[in-house]
Amino acid sequence: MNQASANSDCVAAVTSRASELFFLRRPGVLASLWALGFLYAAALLAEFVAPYSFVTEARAYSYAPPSKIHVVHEGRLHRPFVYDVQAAFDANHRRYYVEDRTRPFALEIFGRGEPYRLLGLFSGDRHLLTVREPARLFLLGADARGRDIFSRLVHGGRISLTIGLAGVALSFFIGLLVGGAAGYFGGWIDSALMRLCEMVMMVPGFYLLLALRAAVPDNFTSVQVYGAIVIILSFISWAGLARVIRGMSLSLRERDYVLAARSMGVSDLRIIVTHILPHTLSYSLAAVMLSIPGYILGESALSLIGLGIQDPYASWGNMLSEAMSLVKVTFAPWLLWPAVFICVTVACFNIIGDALRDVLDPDKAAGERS
Amino acid sequence: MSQDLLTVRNLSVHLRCGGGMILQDISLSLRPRQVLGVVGGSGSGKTTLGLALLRLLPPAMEQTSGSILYRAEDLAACSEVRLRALRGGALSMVYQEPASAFDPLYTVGRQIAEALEAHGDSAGQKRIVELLVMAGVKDPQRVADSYPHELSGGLLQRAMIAQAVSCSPGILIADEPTSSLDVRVQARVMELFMRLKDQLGLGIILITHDLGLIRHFADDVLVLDHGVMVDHCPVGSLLFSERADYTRRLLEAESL
Ligand SMILES: Nc1ncnc2c1ncn2[C@@H]1O[C@H](COP(=O)(O)OP(=O)(O)OP(=O)(O)O)[C@@H](O)[C@H]1O
Ligand SMILES: [Mg+2]
Repeated sequence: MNQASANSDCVAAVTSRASELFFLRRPGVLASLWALGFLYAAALLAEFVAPYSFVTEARAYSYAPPSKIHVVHEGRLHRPFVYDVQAAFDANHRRYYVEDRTRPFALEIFGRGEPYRLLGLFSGDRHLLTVREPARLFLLGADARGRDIFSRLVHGGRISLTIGLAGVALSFFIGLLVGGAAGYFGGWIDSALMRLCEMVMMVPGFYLLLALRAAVPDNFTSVQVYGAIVIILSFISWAGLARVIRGMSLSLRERDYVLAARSMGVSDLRIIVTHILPHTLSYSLAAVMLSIPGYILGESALSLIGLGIQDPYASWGNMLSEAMSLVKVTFAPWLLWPAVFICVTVACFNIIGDALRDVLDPDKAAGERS
Repeated sequence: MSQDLLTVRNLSVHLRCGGGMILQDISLSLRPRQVLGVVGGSGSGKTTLGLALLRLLPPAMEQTSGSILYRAEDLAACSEVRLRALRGGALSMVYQEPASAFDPLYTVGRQIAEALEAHGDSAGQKRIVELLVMAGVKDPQRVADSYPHELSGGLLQRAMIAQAVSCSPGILIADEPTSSLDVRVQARVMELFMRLKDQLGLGIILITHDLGLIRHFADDVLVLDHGVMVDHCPVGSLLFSERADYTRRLLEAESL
């Protein structure tokens, strides 16, 4: 009876807190959700959002700076537009760009541009924001080969933003099953699985990453590399989760309803999946959020040192590898934009994960109520 | 002997790694439609006895001797797969605390269905409703669709009994099935047990420390004191003849 009222208490607390949108009112959470929403939406609709594809080169615009957006042409107000730019060299043979002020190119919303197939399914040639040829729109500048950094960032998001989700999905699957089985069965199964976890955790992550990457053949296609990175990253990170889940299921298996299910002959796997793991959800949900940044950073690190996604495919990590030389960065600071995107994404996931953990942590919640 | 549902001989349970004794040399037998009462003080090993019969002892304990025969099948020799079929299908157990015996994340109906599915039975809504009706639930559909925290202890206890008999077991082990219920509900649940016993031909092992219940409902009684079986006799003789010290003390304590 006590238990029943405690249960309904708990449920009431959860629902009342949910109705207050307790979670959303935490500082930064709403902003983070919006930011991530925009990033993922942009990545999903990359072909449409980006003015160009990630391979479109315009060698004449090597390291072109971000396009200046004007509203006044020859002393008269004009709808927002850009001028075409042309490279010139100063006395020190350094390149700079001058605007050709004779002809304005208006920014066009839903304007026609390069034809594409959205997600390989729908063909079109309209872009969110574009300008007519021969001018080019570089919202965030251009790289060495005159490729639009904004377009490449948006396309690169497809890799950098999904690699975390794919990796998390895989490592959580392994972590939950291993942890759940170890805690539930106990005995030698527990010992064996936990020693395995410790072996994985013992090796410093980044070296393991390099070692595993070295084991992957060089002649992989980019899709294969993507898959390999996901598998490598999740191989490194399932162990930590497994250990925590194991601890939780060790205590969860003592619950009466687990014993009741066992005494009705329900199979062990079924009990783990339906009566143990769902009860670890409050922890694992927060852990999911908090571990996604690790994957994003891991992919970036691999790609940065040239072991990840290969040019011409864009990922935030391999775009950043262009910014590795000081000379280039002082000369074309816009090459650092991928770093900004990585930082923002990582921060957003951390803020959401932290808030989720606080909200779902029953001890902390009880403390706050009393 | 052959018509016995269950025969236990010299069952002993110890803590693992040379630990202390929990149960010693328990022998009992159970026929269909027989109610065997098990009484004893707190910590005397009543629950452990029930779990030992299901071969679900806690990891810290092990059975050190004895045999458990269900319809002449030795449970000790059964594979884990066979045991799973026997749990629920041959022996099932009803627990003391109805509120915690259901997972708060699922509806009661879903959890009854889970037991049915584990035995390869069809788990249609109709069957669940039937079972709940049999367990004396008035509005079975609502109960099936409710989460455990939405139901009273009495209803949950009935639902648990419905689950326990869902796969037509021969033996129902009831571990203090009424101790968390109020007296009125207690009587109704006990009536339910008796009805099911006659209807389904169940053998019931009724674990309790309420001698009143035993006297009313049990045919035989087994008295446990710190894991030792101090008495095993028909209920009738519990009152009159010379009994073991411990039993006498139990009886005296009751009459206070
Ligand atoms: N998981 C366990 N690990 C180790 N010892 C246990 C465990 N569970 C119970 N015991 C011990 O086993 C003995 C028997 O416990 P059991 O629960 O069977 O008693 P009980 O007769 O059911 O008591 P109650 O009337 O309180 O339910 C007790 O001494 C108890 O301390
Ligand atoms: Mg007990």
